[in-house]
Amino acid sequence: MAFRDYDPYERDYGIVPDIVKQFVVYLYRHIRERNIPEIESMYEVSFPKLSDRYFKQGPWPPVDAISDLVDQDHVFCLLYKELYFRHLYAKTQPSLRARCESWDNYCDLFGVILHGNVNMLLPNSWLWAMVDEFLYQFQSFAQYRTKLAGKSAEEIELLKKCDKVWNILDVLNVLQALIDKSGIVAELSRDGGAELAAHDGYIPGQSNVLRMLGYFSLVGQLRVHCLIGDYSTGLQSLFPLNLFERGKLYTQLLSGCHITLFYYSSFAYLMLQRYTDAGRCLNAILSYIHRVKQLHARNAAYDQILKKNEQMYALLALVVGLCPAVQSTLDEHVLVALKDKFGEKLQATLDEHVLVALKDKFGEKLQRMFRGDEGLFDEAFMYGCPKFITAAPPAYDNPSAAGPQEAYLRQRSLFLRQVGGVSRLPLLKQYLLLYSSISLPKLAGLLETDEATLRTALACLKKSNYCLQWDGGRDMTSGSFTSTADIDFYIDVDTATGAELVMLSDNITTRHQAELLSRHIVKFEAIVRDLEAPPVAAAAPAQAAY
Amino acid sequence: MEVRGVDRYQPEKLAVLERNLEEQITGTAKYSLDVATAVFRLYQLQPSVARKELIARALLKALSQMPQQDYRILIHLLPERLVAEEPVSSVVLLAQHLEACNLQDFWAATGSCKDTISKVPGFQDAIRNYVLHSLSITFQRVSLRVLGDWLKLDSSALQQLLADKAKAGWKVQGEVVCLPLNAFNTAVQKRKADLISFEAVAPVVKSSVATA
Repeated sequence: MAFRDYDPYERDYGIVPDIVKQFVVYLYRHIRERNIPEIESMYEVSFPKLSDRYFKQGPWPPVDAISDLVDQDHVFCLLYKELYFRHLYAKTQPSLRARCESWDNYCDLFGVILHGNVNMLLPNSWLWAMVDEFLYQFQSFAQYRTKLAGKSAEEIELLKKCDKVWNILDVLNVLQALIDKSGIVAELSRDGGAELAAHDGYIPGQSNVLRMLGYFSLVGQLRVHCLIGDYSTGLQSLFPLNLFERGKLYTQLLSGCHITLFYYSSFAYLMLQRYTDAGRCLNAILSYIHRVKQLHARNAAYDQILKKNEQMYALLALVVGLCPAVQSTLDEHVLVALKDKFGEKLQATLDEHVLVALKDKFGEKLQRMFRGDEGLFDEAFMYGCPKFITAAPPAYDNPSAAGPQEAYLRQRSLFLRQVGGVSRLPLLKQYLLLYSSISLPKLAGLLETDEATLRTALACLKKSNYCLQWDGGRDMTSGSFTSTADIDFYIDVDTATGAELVMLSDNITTRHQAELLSRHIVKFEAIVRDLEAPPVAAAAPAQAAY
Repeated sequence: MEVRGVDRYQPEKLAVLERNLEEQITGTAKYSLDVATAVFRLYQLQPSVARKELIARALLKALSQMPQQDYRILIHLLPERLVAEEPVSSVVLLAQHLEACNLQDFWAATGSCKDTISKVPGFQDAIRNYVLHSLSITFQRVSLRVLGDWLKLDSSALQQLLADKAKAGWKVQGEVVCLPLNAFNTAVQKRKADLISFEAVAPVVKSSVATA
């Protein structure tokens, strides 16, 4: 572990404001007294306020400046340093030394929690933020490490010595240790998380720290695996959380955690070509954000929520572009918002029930995606994808070998190949929509290709609609094959003439109008009631006057 | 062999995992995607210890599991420098042809990685099974000539294969082969009527009862 012995006197800090000293003393006292509402208010309100007022440009006082106020309590100092580094990362560009110190701090903190017998209570939002920040700093270090171009030779030398710092195996092992030690998997398998949700995460009589860290580490593992391109292990490591039966899912109470969970799962499903599952996840989370957005309007996390919202709409546009049948499974407001951002008029068969108010700012884009315009897929992917990292350390001796974008470019090229495979199919689909049956040679003539290519293209089209869909297995990666086609066809050989025919089937979908209609009926009746009410109320005072 | 929990992240176990992977490829051990994923993940972490010919063979084994997405899962783990050279690059090309259903090019390309394929027993049969499967979701009837092209079998081998498949519903009628019917290659007039749930209609019922 490097850089443990930094020189505290190097930073001549100056006077610590009194109000900050008070904050530290009270926080320490509340943590010792396990007073959760107070801790929560200090963490969520006072800390950001003080940061804004006194520490807008620079870091909080170093831990030695305040450790006397708290009797040098080891655990509190670790917690304080966690907040200190989080603030540092948010406001400044941390140096290599700061990154190493932060890594040491996290190792110590998690070490104490894993091996010591921690009895304190901490707000769940703080615990989630701990895991979230841990992984964010890991991501940030991995990207910092690969940017060799702008660094001096001695910086590169120092970097080479720090190969134990923010090592991906250590990160994954820490998460796994938290999961194992907390026994969260057994607990969730037993009752599906009902007890946890019922007590809001704070089960009375026990410390919530280890248990909730274990819970959040499940989501953390998903995130790390997605960043290195290991999508199926990421989804597997979520066990026993269930994305599709969300009734008892505790994360709904913590929006940051819930959004992270669904963002990475839907991205993983997208890359595994399981479009219906990705569509379901995105639909669920976008509806959730729509519902809870207003609650966070003044929160520091609001901007992040909005950013993720935009990214997920980009992912949804990709899913819909690759599998148009997903549109019929989306909630109304999600579909409308998607079209506001990306689409004007889609293919006529699919949008009767959408509201009329559509902005045509990004109008054309979705339609062009339907026609297989690869550039748009690229653009949406670039905006919506997470910041991938390369697990391996860079080749320090050869700075130009692989740049910081390597991991991203790799995933992008795989994705574009997937898109390229289906880019010529929309044209084929448009022709097929016009017929109920057509002979192969005739279709080949229309498309100006030969029969063999056409046969291949038809098989490819059928294959692209043949997706894995989750159907109730215990693991998020299980599923069975279903057809997600919006047009259905098969190829037959007419026994009389020996000619091959493409036969299409009619898909008659009766729209799910019940909810929409009942909502409007109730609203209408309320309006009518209001219109009829005043004469009664006016008549009563009128009578009273006489 | 299952690779769960903390076993996923132990580089010391690499040799054990590689050995198991080799056994899976030759058929002596039961197939398990977890092992290949763990091996590839460790290769991503330390590209210097990666064994390219093992990667190529493991990818072929995964490809033979089509239509399962095993190949796709594995390929995302490999960085560019591990797939850029032989023998992995020709396997990647092979996979591209197969995913695009370009069977002519696929069979032609198998020529260039004959060595690797010969070390994965059962590869060609597995691919032929997959081709038959993807035919059965697209075609109800197909001409013998097309079938022979797609499977790269001459007529006697083809007749033999079809005779084996007769129990599963494949019938030969002159020059045309009838495929077994399933949900994907029949034109069913699907009326997708969503069931109307009571919760959707409840407000209306409530308000009409109140005003009645």
